[in-house]
Amino acid sequence: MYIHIAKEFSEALGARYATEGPNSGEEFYNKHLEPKFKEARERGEKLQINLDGTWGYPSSFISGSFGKLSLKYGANVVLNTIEFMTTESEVTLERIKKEITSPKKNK
Amino acid sequence: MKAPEQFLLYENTGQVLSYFNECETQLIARKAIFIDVANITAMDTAAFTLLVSRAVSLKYTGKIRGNTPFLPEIRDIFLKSGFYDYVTLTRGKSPKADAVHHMLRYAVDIETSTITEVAAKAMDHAFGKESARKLAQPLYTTLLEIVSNTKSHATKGESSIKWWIYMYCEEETRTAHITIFDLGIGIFESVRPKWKKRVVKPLLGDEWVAKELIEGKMPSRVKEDGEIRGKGIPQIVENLQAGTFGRAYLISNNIKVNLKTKEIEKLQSPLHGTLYHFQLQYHKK
Repeated sequence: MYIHIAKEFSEALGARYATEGPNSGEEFYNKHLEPKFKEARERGEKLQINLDGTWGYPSSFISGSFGKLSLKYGANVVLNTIEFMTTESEVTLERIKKEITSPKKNK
Repeated sequence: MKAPEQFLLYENTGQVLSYFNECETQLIARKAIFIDVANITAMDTAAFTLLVSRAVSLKYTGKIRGNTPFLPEIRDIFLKSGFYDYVTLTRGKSPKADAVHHMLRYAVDIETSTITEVAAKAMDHAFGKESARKLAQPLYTTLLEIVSNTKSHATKGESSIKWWIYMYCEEETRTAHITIFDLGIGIFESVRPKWKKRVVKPLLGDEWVAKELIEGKMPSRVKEDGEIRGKGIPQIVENLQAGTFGRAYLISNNIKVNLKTKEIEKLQSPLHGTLYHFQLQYHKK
C-alpha cells in the first residue's frame, strides 16, 4: 500500500485542523492516512509513504496527522506499519518519527 | 506625526514603537493624521510594514495623509511598495506599486496559496528559478507556522484575525526581507500558564515566559489538544538557524527576541500585536 503525499493530497500542506484552512493534518489523516493505515494492518502489509515533492511539513500538520495516529494506535504499531520514503529531507523524516515516538510536547 | 529619523524597528525599537502607538491612539480617536516620513535617514522593512498595516487595519483610509522621504533610496521603497494605496499623498499622484520587488498581502485565514507565492518569489529572488524545492522547506514551514499561530492571538469573541505579510526583494544583495504581523493580543498575553506557573510568572516576568515558549514548554490558551500543541514556535526558531536566513527576530507585547541568538529583551514601549521579521539571503561560495 502506498501514499505519495504531494501527488495524492497536496504539495502545500496546511496546519493542524480542517477548520484552520486547506490541506490540514486532520484532512490528510481522515481522507488518506488512517484509512490506508487500517487497511495495511488488516492485510498484514506495510504502508509506504513518500514524503517528497511538498513545500515542507509544518509541525502542526505532522502533529495533526502522524501524531494523532500515534496517539490512537501506539508509536510501535505505527512505526512497524509505515515505511517512509524520502530523497529530499532526512530532517523532515526525523521530525515525523520523533512526533510518532513522542506526540506529547515537553513538560 | 513625524516618524523617527532612524526608522529601524530592530535597532531603534523604543522610538519606532512609541511612534506607532501614538499614531494608533490618534486614529482610534478618529483624528485625521499626517504621517511625516520626509526626514527618515534609515529604514528597515519591518518598521515600514507596521506603518502600512496600521493605516489599513484601523480602516481610516482617506483620513491618513502623508509625504515622501527626501532620501531617494528610501523614497523609492515607499513609492513602489503600494504604501500610497492607503495613505493620501499631499503632493503628486500615488504611484503604481512595483510587484517585482514588493509584495504586500493580508488575509484572515491560512492561505496556503499566498504562502507558496511568497516562498516561491523569495526563493527565486535569492537563489534563482532553478533552486530546489527542498531548499524552500524551512521558509514555507516557518511562514505556515507563523500564520497558523495568529488565530491564538485573537481577542475573546473574535474567531479570526487579520495577518499581514510584506516582502521586499532587495536587488543588490539578493536578499528577501520578510515581515509577518498581526494586530492581536500578542503572544505573551495569549499563553495560558498552568496554575503553578501563574504564581511564578509575575515574579520571573515575561522574559521567562519567552524562554519557555521558545523551548516549547508553554501551553497555548487554546485548550483543545493542549498536550500536543506548542511545537510551532520551537520549529520556527529551529528553521531560522539555517544559514540561508540572516537577521531574524520576533517582537510581541513588551518582548523582543533575537531568533538567531535567542537573546531576549524587555521593551519599554510595547507592540500591540505580534511581528516576525527575517531575511532570506544568497551567500556567494
